[in-house]
Amino acid sequence: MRPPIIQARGLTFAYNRSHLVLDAWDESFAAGEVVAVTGPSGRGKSTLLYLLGLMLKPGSGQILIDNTDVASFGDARRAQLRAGLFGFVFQDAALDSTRTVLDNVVETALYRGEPRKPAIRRARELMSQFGVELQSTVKPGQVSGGQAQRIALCRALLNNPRILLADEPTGNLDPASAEVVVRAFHAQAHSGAAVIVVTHDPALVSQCDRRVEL
Amino acid sequence: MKNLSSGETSPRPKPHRAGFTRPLAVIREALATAKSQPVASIVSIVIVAGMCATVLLTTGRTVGAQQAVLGSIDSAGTRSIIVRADADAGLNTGVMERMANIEGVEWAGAFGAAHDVTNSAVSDGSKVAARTVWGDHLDLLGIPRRQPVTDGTAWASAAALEQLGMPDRIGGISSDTGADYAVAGEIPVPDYLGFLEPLVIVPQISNTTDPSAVSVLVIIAARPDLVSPVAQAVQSVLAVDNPTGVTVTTSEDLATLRALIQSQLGSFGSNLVVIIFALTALLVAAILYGLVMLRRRDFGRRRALGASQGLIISLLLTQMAVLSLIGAVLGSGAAAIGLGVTGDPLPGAAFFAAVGVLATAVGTSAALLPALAAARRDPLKELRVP
Repeated sequence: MRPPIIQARGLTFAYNRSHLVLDAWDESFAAGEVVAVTGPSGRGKSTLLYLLGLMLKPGSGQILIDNTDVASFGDARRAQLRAGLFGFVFQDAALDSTRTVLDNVVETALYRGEPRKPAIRRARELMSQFGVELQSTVKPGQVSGGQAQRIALCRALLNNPRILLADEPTGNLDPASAEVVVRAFHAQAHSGAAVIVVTHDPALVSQCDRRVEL
Repeated sequence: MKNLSSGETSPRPKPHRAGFTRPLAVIREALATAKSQPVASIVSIVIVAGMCATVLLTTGRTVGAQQAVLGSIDSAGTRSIIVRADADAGLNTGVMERMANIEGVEWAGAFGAAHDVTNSAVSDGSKVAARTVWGDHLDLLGIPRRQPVTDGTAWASAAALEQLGMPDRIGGISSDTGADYAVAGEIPVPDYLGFLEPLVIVPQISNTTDPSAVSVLVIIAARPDLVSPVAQAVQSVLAVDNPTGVTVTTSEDLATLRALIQSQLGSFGSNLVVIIFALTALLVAAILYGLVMLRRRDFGRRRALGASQGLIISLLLTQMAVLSLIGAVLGSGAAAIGLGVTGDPLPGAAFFAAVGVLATAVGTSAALLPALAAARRDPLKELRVP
């Protein structure tokens, strides 16, 4: 068993006093595994993902990355970790419709302080790998939903993340496009990343290494 | 603390400098964002350009007129103090040394009694009054600084040269006292010495041990509002034997009028500028806030993908600074053309630059609150799909 990359310890989160979403929740995610987080709607799956992705601060508890508690870090440090260690795939791709697809893929390089040229080289490699070699002037509005999600996948993988978080990544995809996404998750896990996928899709759950029920 | 980047099993791109986004990258991204939102960008540019043009065509025109009016008043000698002394009053060149300690004096010159001179080459030529002059900054009268002040050199105004019959602006002159001088050139006569025209002057170095008699003392204050205190200070160091033989004339009334005009026109202009800038700031802030609300999902995405709050604020402020600068340049250019076409006086390069800088600062500052709102977008709220 590989050591965990990211762990939740006693994680508690509430939107208000009457709505406790997570209560002293514990879990570990190791390098090399693709973990499906499942459960009924409203149980806090997406909230958990955004907590693990350091976009929300827990009410109490710890989020450990390489055994370091990062939950209490300030905004700039958490943003730095998000840009450097994490990759995010959202349900509807969440691309900037006013920018080209290439700009979308290399967006996170800006947040890491990474020079643009090498980022563009890597973006083109990824776009080629995922079959979305589009002209540099093409914008997200000009591509299909499946292509948009693959572009979002390229953006998430640009920094070769150690922790890949996905929120219903195949929710809007046809089976073929969903298969591409699942293969990419396993490849990333194989390269040493922990992949955490929130999903309702039984097909996707069945292809994950482990399942965590909320 | 353990290095969070360690323990990888495959090569990963290294940050250029962890957590530090290069300023050029921020500017590039701000420009790209502005370009990708053409309508909002053009509206912002037009508003700032409109602000600049309005300020320059209203206050700028007022400032131009103000400068022209004040220039006319100044040319009449708003800063001058003239001391006239009869021969028996006892005013001498020692006063120049005593005045050296008075603050607020820009220039001072002591003139001796007038004596007639004629062109040595013209028999029965016209007589012109010549005066000996003492002072430390005679270069202000057009006498070259490097020119040694010698007993035998004189300088004449255009009117004096014409009366003396010296079209070449050089020649010899003879005094009715028997002294001969060489006219070395023409000097322009400032307005405050106009009462001495036609003017021929013979520069001298003052001799503190043997002071010479002075009949006219001209003092120029550094500012119009200093005329009164400087005049009082000068009178206290005249050290004359017969005070009744001395008359002091100042431009104090003119200086007061000048101050009144400057104050009233300046106050009108600055109030208008404040109102225009405040309205523009409000408009820019409203537009940017609307833009942030329209694009809140984008800001939520940026936050989720690793943009810090500081970076988002920097991006929006840079974007607005660039658009404001473009607007300021366009607005200033349009106003300059407008003022040129109507023939109104231009307020001067410094005023144009100040309005441009202020407009850019106002536009950028107005973006601060919308930028803070953008930086606080919650990724979960913005990105979650129901």
